[in-house]
Amino acid sequence: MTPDINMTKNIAIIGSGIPLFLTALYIERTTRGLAYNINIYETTGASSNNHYSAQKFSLSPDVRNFHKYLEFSENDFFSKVKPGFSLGQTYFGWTKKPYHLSFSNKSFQLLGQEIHTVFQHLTNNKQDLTFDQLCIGGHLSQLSRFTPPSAHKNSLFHVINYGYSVSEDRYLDYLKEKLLHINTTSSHLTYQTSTDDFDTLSKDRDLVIDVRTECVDVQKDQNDGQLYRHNLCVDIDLNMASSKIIRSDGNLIKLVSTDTETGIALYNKKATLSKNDLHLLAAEAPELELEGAIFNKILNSEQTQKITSNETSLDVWNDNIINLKRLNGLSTGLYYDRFWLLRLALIELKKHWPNNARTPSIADHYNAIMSEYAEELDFIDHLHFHNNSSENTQLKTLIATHSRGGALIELYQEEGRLPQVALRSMDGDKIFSLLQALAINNKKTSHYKFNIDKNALIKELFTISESFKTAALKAPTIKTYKQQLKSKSTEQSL
Amino acid sequence: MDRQLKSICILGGGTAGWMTAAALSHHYKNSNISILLIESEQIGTIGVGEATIPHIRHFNAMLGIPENEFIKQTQATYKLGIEFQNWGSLHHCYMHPFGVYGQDIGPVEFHKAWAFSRLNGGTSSLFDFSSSIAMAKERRFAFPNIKSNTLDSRYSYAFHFDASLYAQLLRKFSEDNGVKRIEGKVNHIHKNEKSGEISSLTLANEASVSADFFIDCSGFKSLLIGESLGEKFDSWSQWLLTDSAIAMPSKNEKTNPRPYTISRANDAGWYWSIPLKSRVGNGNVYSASFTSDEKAHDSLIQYIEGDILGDGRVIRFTPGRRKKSWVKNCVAIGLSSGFLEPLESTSLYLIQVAIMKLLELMPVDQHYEHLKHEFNHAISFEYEKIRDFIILHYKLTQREDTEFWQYCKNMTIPGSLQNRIDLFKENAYINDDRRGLFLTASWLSVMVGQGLMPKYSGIEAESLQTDKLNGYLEEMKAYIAKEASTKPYHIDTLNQTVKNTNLRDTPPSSMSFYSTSS
Ligand SMILES: Cc1cc2nc3c(=O)[nH]c(=O)nc-3n(C[C@H](O)[C@H](O)[C@H](O)COP(=O)(O)OP(=O)(O)OC[C@H]3O[C@@H](n4cnc5c(N)ncnc54)[C@H](O)[C@@H]3O)c2cc1C
Repeated sequence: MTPDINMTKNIAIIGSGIPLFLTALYIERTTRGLAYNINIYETTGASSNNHYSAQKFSLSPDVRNFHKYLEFSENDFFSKVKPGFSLGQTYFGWTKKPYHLSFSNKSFQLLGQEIHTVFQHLTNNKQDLTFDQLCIGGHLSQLSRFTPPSAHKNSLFHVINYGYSVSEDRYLDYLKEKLLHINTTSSHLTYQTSTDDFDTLSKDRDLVIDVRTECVDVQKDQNDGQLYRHNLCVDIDLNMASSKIIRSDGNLIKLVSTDTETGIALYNKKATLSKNDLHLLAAEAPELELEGAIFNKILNSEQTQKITSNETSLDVWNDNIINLKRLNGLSTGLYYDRFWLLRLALIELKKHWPNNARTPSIADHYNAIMSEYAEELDFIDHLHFHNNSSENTQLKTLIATHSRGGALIELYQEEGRLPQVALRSMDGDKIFSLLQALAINNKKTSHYKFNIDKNALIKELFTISESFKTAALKAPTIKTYKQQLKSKSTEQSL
Repeated sequence: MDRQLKSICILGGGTAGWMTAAALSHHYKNSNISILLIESEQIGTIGVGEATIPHIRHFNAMLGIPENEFIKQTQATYKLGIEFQNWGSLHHCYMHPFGVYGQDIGPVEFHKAWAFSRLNGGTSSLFDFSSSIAMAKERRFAFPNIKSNTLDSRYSYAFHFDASLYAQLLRKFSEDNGVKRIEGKVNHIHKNEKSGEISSLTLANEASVSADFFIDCSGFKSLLIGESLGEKFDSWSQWLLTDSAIAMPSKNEKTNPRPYTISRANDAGWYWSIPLKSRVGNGNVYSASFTSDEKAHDSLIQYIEGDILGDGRVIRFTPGRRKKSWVKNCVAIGLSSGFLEPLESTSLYLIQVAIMKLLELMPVDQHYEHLKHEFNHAISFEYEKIRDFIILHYKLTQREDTEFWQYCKNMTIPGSLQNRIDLFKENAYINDDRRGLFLTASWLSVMVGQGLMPKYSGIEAESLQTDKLNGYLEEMKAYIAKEASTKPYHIDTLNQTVKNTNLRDTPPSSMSFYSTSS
């Protein structure tokens, strides 16, 4: 063993808000019992510039594994954070019809092929059958029902995947409480609030992780020319099984479901919100009042829909400093939640954990991987913006030429092949779901012929879809499920 | 209206040509696409290439060729990996097995746990944790149990076989599926003046063959993509010095053949030894700049153990590949698209990957710009990753006994490979790209096998308790060795398979050796 491994190493984590606590908890868990000193500095100020006026937001399904690693119990999380469950997301205003994207996988193969391969060949015969109907998660969402994945491989419910929707305050409090608890029981960690400058705090550290949330403000954002300028997340329906993402005047409005006062107050307002509704909403929702100024700024500002980020490398890790705040501005919340990249960055950091942080080969590889993820996020965003009903041809052209993602859409549209993109986070079924949802169809039929009558196949698919629906109807409604959970956790605490 | 693609012409009837014909004819069985293959007996085929990697089983399974039938008809034996002798240093050997090492310990990847143990004074050899190696050493072979995930089932296997017999088998298969075979030598290639696409081929007997799409399987000649379409060749000879080979079969005098290939490094290259059912394939792959053909020939004769069957002829090659494998309406598959020395038996795999990718991307008309791009992107990725893996064997040598090895040891390597080596050295991280050929266990075999050890085993391993870990590793080792010793001898399994008329199950998973998801 090289001698420096035995020396205690000093890590500083500097930042604020949810990113700080997620990072601190993760690094603490990773180094627990080992020779590391971790100093956590919660910086004050800065975070009010956050361009998310979100009070509520969704968490993509991978968060569950992340929480598991942090040893959170779901019951505890449920009783303290009171999250909603999210089986997928429904998009309004993006194509002519709203569409739903389920987080769950398709559960079956047909004719020895992945289901999307078969579905592709049925372009003209599909009638009203949508790809999402071939997924149990899609049905559950539509019926506002919920059940967690079954452990039995043969169960239709085995493939269910879900995330949460949470209130920012509660999630923050929860994470903070966990950290403070660890702080009192562990000697290798210190936590303090600090206004000291970065250079002083990070001096002489073996590793510094910077998660200050001073990301792009609205003004900067415009110049940056992001696809849209603002995320607004409010809760509107207590018992939705999926989040709703509304596109309105270049803004992105995400409706998630959490058990809050606002949620109850707005319960009856359904998804089709106009600009006026937004003003109304801002006025009505007590939590949103605080954000009113920013909110008006967005609604009244000019629209910019340019695409940027031609950066090839993010260079998150440089020398002994890992600058995770760079990832914040990239997370859009459009498909994955805005902490998705941060979670991945931490998981990758564990894999790349250095003996000496100043090792360029490790940092380079880490940066390359994080850039790939960021590109992936970009691609998924682009897919959403590249839809047939979009009148913005300039945007379309930009997307097509901008990224590998754009080229792959053309590959599918013009030449009839499903992009087998090496996406790290999405498989063929997921990409196909997205293409289908966005009504991006291929113009060609393949040479490949199935030895089966297409109409018979369609019938079969309808039957499958119906059986999924029947099964979904057996699951409890979200409301009932939540009640069941609540009584379970009360029982446990008794 | 766009012209629909209706006819495909394959030029060449070597392994590449017939593998392509078989796969296309199987895939397009129910379509109105016609497939034609031209080959010239006068020119013949390269006539070497006897060792495979496990992917070939998936290819056969796709075509529905039962494994026992394949073994019977191609004189095949089983292969569990490759033994590398004298590569890291003289008189030292290690094996690159098909399969993974050990079992992860909780969240800690096995190789990191093993490295942690070694860094803390442990003495276990990595190679004691592979079932394939344990069986191979005793010349035993049993099928991995796909249904269990026990330690002794986490391996895979391939074959040594007679490639010309395989081509015959595939020829029959293809012809039964409607492929039309034309015997003759192509003398002229005609191109459409406007588009530059190939329109037809004229044979020596003046017959003309036209098609919508051409597949160049003409071997090293690279008649269509190279000679006619002028696609440039990217030479990698600054990293891969060998440029010549002599093949010389000998009689197999062992009743129970070895279930693995041997690659023994010599002064200016390496010998191969591939045991088939009735003979052994031998050869010398060398650099003509560092030794002479005569010396290479004589030393090969010295190396061969049994009675030699026939003279060896010298084959010359340049390592590298065409910059693009798909140009205009022509796709190159096999030697016409590139060649990497047979150190890791990867040529047939590259043929298979190209075929699978082509099936996925086959155009329906003349609009194929994106398809072409996607294909070339995928093939480049495969070639470059394999290139790096082969260079790794040379770069990691500690030998300095000849000029050849001095050069290899000190040469500058591609940045992509240097990065993989550095990552492993720093914290036992193996960058296997998670797709393409050669995943973690393969990189690990060669790196550790040739003496590269990590300085640090990563943070997760740090929480392991050394004593407990070492005890656990001992148990694991003993279990693997004990299980291997209960498996039947290679020859017995072979005979049993040939007798067995039942179709084998779908092949066991690839066990980390490669991934076809690229
Ligand atoms: C020394 C050596 C060892 C090898 N060992 C292995 C190994 O262990 N494992 C492995 O996987 N691979 C190995 N390979 C590679 C393997 O041999 C080839 O990839 C494989 O045989 C495919 O060859 P091919 O079909 O592309 O070319 P060829 O076998 O050369 O076939 C070319 C075809 O094109 C035809 N042709 C050419 N010109 C004309 C013309 N003008 N008109 C008509 N027909 C024409 C020929 O008649 C022939 O049918 C080895 C290669 C070498 C050189």
